Amino acid sequence: MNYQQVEILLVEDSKADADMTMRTLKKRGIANNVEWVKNGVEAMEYLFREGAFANRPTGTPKLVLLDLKMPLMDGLQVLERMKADPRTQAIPVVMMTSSREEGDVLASYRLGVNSYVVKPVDFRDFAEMVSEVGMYWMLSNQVPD
Amino acid sequence: MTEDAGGSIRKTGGGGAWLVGAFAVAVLLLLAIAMYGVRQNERTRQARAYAAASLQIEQAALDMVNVSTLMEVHQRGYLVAGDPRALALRDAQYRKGLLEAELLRRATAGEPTLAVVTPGILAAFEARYRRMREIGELAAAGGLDAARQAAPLQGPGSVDPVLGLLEELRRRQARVLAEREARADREAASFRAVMLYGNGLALLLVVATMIALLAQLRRNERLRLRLEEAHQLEMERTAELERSNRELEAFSYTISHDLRAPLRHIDGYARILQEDAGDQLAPDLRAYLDTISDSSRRMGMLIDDLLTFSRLGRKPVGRVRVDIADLTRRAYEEVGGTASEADFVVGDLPDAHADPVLLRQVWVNLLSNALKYSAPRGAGARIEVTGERAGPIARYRFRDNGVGFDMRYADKLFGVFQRMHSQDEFEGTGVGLAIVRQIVERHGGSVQAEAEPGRGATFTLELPAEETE
Repeated sequence: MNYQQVEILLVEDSKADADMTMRTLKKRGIANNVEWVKNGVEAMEYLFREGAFANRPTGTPKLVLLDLKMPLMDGLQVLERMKADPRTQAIPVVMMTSSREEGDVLASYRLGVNSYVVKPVDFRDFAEMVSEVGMYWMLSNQVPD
Repeated sequence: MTEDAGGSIRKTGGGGAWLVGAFAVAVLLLLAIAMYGVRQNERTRQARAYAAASLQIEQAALDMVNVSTLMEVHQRGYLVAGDPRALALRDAQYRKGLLEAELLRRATAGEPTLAVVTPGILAAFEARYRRMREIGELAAAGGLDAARQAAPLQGPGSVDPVLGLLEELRRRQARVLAEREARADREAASFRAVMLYGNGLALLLVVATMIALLAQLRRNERLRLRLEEAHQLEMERTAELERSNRELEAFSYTISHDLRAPLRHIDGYARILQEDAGDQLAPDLRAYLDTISDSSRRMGMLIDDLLTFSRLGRKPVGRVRVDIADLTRRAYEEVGGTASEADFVVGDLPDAHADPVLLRQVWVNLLSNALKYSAPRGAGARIEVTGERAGPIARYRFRDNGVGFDMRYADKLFGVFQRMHSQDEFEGTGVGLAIVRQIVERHGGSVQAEAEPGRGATFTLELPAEETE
């Protein structure tokens, strides 16, 4: 392998949340190579190697961390497209959002989300949650090759 | 509005009874008049029959007069001419007279004043006939002159007692008839009066009933319209409420998502600064970073509680039987009671008829308050939950021996963001009891608090114990 395999695709419109997520994943030694995109459209382009990502190395991430509320294309739309496409439907998707709304949780599971977690306000709780999610999905969870 | 309508309905009920009464009286009156009419008709028929009978009497009496006179005429004819055929004619009149007498007897049998006269008439008639026979026989034996001497020739009827009696009968008959006619007239007059006044009264009652009924119908119609209007208004209000609820939902969604994220960032960067540069900062500067983190966390809690408050306020209240004893144990465990030092006493708790999810929130809030405010007592803390059934109401008491509060501020206790203690003494957002009151009141129940500073607090809840309506 002459390139570094992208381990996690982080879809998050907030730079601060993305900062804190990537910092935690790196500091806890869960994933060094995290690709961060700012909205659903970029996520689609990355996953299907289109637009700005047409020339990216092949391969799919082992995990997608998806925010719910984003400009242009929100998390639910991304989720729907991913689960409808054979190329991406096997990638575990974890919804990471501020919304506790029952409707959002339900809609996500109906569309086939693999996990749904609410971002805590407290940074220590947040860091704990991010590392738990990363540990489980990156290390414990088994995915098809 | 509802009370007003209820009042009208009660009034309507009284009017209904009055109407039914008046209508029944009218019907009874008409029935009575009809019965009276039937009886009156029978009387008229009797009067008519009696009039026919009196004609018969009159006729018979006249015939009797004729017979008696003719008998006399034939007797005299015989005495004058000596023709025995005259005697046969006399006897024929006698037989006819007997028949007439029998007719008279029968015709007068129903009228005592007349019936007393008829036997006398027959007796006098027979006596007279016997006398004529005697004279006739005298004539046959001793010649006509002897007979003429025995029976001097006088004007016809002048000495005939039968005629006198018949005259008496006819006088009496006329009197009876006059009396009867007078009575019939009186009865007819009273019948007319009864018909007139009775029917008039019945008509009046029926008309009054109709008028009252129409008024009633109009009142009912007005009431129906008013209810309809009220219903319409309520529908509009409900629609309005639903609209504002939807707006509120969108609003709280925005709050939950957009307000939380910046708080996380504030806390996050403060923590990162602590972690990465903490050792280069003076202690007071590090304390500032801690304050930033604490404040953002507290604001996060406030947002969460407010969201809970608004969400629970909109959640429809389900109603099922809730095992309160079980709920109490679970809630106590959930708020960390079992892990604390507090002495937890649970009495006999009746079931409630309520929404289990909402009620769990109430129990969690009250028990976590009890734990929080009695914590300073350490192992001496005591929390007691008791209950009782009072008719359709289930009453629960949450008693603790914690710090309590001053009853002067009791009215603020259940308000949103109202606190009795500073943040430094006890953490909290001041929303918990507001949620409690909101949920309890949405169940149609009530909540009250009693306390004394330093002695503890008692919260009394009243909830429906069984299905109502």
